[in-house]
Amino acid sequence: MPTGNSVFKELEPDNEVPEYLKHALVAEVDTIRNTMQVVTLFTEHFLSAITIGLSFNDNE
Amino acid sequence: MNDYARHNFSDEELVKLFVETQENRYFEKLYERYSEKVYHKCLSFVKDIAKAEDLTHDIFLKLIFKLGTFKEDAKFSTWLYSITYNHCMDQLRSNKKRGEVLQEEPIEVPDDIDLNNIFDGDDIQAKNLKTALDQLTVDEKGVLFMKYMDDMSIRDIADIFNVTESAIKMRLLRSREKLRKKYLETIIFLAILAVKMIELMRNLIG
Repeated sequence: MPTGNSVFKELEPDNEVPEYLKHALVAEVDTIRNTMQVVTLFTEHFLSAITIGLSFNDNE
Repeated sequence: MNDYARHNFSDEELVKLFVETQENRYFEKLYERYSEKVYHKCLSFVKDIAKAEDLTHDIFLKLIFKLGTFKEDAKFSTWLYSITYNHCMDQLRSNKKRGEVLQEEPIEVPDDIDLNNIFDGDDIQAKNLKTALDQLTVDEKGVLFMKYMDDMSIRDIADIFNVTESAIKMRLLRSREKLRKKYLETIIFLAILAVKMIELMRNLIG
């Protein structure tokens, strides 16, 4: 006869996780990573342009 | 065969590699190892496939953002389950404000009490247990799942809830007693229903 604890463990569902969930997640991770890279690149270039602009003014 | 295929990386190594390289394959490996478990946990709470999928998706997305904060001395599975439980319970506490502390009447937990078994008897029926479990709150279910489904230690459960071990023992005792009571009520209700049905059948035949 099953004990209380073993019956409790049997209550855990055994459904399979759908495959599309993984693809959706990986695609979302890629999108986030790409967006972050674009933002980083834009910010870096924007700041370096300002720095160059300021140093150019100082030289004049 | 490349290095990645040959190596059977531990969870903690995969976390480190993903944080350093940001390569999807390391995250995918972690996902393959734990997605079923996380999905089942979500399904235990919500009983709805679509909602469980949404919760699983959100948990793994949350995990990616938190991987950088993972402490190497911790066990990855316990850390992931803490994210899973906290996320599920947060989502299901719809009638309470987020982060609200549950008001609990303190009860005395004797030192010699055995919290390792959910029921003393052996003859437990899964169907009735499920019915009884559905009548518990999300926090009560959470603490019982952690202890009796995942075999987590009191210390780990206390860390997840961010409370003391004695508070967890109190919650565990209270939740277990409530489950036992609801289980008994379910059996009594079904027995009464069966008697009434027999009476009705007799009256119809007679």
